[in-house]
Amino acid sequence: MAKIDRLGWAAGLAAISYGHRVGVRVSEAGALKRATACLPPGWKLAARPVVDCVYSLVVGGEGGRVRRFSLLYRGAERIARTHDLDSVFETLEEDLKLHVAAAAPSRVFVHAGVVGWRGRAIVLPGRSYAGKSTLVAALVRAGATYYSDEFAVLDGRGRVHPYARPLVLRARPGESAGRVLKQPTDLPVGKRPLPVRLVALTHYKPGARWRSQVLSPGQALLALMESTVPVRHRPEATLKTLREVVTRAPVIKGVRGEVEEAVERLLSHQARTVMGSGIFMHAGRGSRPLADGGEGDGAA
Amino acid sequence: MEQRKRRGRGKGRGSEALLPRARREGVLATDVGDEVVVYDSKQHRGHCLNRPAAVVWRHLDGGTSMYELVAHLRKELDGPADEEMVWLALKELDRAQLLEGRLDMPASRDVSRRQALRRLGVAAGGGAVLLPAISSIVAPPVHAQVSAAACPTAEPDCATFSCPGGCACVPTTEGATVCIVPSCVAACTTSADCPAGSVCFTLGCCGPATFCVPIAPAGTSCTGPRARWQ
Repeated sequence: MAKIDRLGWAAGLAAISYGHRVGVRVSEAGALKRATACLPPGWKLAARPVVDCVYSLVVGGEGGRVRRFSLLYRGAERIARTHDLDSVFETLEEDLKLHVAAAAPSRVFVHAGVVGWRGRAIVLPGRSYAGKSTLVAALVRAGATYYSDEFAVLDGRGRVHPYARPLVLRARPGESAGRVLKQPTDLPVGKRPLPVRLVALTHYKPGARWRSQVLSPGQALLALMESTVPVRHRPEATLKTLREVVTRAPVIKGVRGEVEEAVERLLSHQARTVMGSGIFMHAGRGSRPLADGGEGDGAA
Repeated sequence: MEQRKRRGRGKGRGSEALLPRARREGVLATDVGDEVVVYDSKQHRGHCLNRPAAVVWRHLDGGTSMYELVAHLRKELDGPADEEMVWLALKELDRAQLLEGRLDMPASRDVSRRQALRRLGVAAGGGAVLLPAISSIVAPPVHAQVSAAACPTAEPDCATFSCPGGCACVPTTEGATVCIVPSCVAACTTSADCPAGSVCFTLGCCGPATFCVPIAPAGTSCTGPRARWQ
């Protein structure tokens, strides 16, 4: 680390992101603006330069007859070495995102899309390519408030905090990269933490009808654990936080077809839950289909 | 009474024999309603114990006999319970590695769930019976929770695929094109069959069937392309 510290650093900053202190320093002052754009949404400048982790970016380029690599370090570990500076910034953004998600001291990050609807949150956990961003975008079009298409950031009381990065849809065949659908500045973005009212673990299946079942609280906790970032590092905090969520909100699991039907189902679920109609029944053995409103009887 | 009890890890055959102790070291547990969720920080696995399994797990302190545990089950479940039910729970706990040491189960006690359900169902007069059950997952590592790298090509094949960092760009069963680490995990029908952080792809590089492959996070350096990955 001392060797890296001795390299010439032109600019840097100390930031606080979800309670975790991160430093970023660059070898060329012009690169700092782009480096800070890689920080997770909602970061703030730290008052003191003491950080938990520092990222060091050496900008490469042409220097006489030598073409220098761009280098990126997390602490003393080199995590990128390439001539492609864009790729270095991409690595910085991804690594920062995961590092903060794993290390944030008082938050538990769940890989999920989140929207707010009538003062409550709908959380949509899922693996990549489960269609989270598409569903979040459709819910926002239907009037929901945008919270995140990447992480549900949960506090100890089981409330969701915003993680409003630009809403990005993946590349379609023939397109070169993901499409930025909306910047947070163009969206109704949630500002305050919301209690969770519904967690929906759905995956897209072309041509399928909506089918869902309510998970028992224990099964729900287990299912959420599969999408939780810090579970291996902070299992105690993870269990405690997820328990808060599953004991207060129903967790449904199922298959969805086209997005329009899914939006209608999710928003009506939310409305019925807020009304406290008691339709969400936890079955003794894991889970069972809902009998109300057609869920559970749809065929794929 | 104590002298008559045989110590051991489930080796005794009679109702007086002491049952094994549940593993507590490296294990975190939380009650969620009637169930217990257990996190094994050594194996990085999570387990959900339903009510009967949770009752058995709670009472396995190394000093409880089969007879006592059956009584606990009857009282706490307020329903029928017998030794088969306890053995079933022990078998599930052993499979989840939530017992200290290995379970030495008598062959005569290794009943199937169907047999146990039939016996207890008769005892309950046809009423509902809940058998011990444990669901398990592997806790994902941090990098499994990242959104994947963008894929630059639309029509890849096994020989010509390319992505930043050398990982592979492949079509999934859902019609998306995904940047993945070329490593064959398991046969699948859709991506929902695959572990977290992986997708089901259709290219046939792993053989004739569709296979799960891990999604490559942005900036990953994966192994170079090969026509076949097996």
